[in-house]
Amino acid sequence: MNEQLLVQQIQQGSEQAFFQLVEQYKTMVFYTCNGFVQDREEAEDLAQEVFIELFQSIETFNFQSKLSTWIYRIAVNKSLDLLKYKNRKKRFSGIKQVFGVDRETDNISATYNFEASADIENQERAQILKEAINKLPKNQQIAFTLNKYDDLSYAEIAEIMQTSVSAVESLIHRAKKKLQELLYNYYQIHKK
Amino acid sequence: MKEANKMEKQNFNIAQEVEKTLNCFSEIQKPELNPYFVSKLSARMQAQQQKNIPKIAVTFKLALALFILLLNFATIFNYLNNSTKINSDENIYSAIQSEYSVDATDLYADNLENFNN
Repeated sequence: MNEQLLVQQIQQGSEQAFFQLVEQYKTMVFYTCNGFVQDREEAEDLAQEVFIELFQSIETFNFQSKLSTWIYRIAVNKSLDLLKYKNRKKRFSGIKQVFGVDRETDNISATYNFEASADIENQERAQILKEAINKLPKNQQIAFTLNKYDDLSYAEIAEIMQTSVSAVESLIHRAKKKLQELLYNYYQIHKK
Repeated sequence: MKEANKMEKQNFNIAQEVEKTLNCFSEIQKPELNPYFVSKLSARMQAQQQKNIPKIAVTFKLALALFILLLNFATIFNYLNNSTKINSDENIYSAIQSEYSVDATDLYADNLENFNN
């Protein structure tokens, strides 16, 4: 079915059309969320939230951008919101730990690090990289993740971020530089 | 010299590690999406819709309570406004009475005098 027709049907309240759209975009949304949170369960949960928000706000979609771009934007915003929430929670539990109130977080990170996986080394690297990406400014974080994890072109990222291609190029360049610096410091401290 | 070589080697190793980590996304196998994703989403949406119904009911009840409260306030305000108006009317009457020396007992006394005459 034509995308425009599909959107119009959803705007008229058709659930069938909505689930057709979900089928079409579920993998894309899931991968995007996973690129940011690096956790399958959380990414799935986020993807569901993305589609719920999409259903609730589809009336505001006016075909000024591509549907996929609009969906990417919702997915990116939702993922960043979750990361922000988790960072806040982490900081708070850090304070709790200082006062000896909370001991749970140690166990959580331990189970996460040794998650059953075929390539544990890569998982570990991804975890380290994720921590480093979280330290980047928001725009660099978005541009780098969409480029490296979702394999999106600079032009596509520019459309999602509503900026120019050269700005995206610069963001990714700066992100790489900063990440190199952060990772270098990390490996210097954690020498094998 | 040996120390410098060791340092250089260490830096090289770190740089390699950094490069590997930076490119690990392409090495990583992307996870599979749960095959029940759509049914889970559908269930979640239904649950949310059901959750919204009591929310709407609560909102309606609150709005009704607020409306009744406002109505009460309006009635009280109206009543107070009218009673002050009555009071002010009474003030006018007494002012006229004192101005023209009109008194109910005087009128009655006048009438009685007239009748006696």
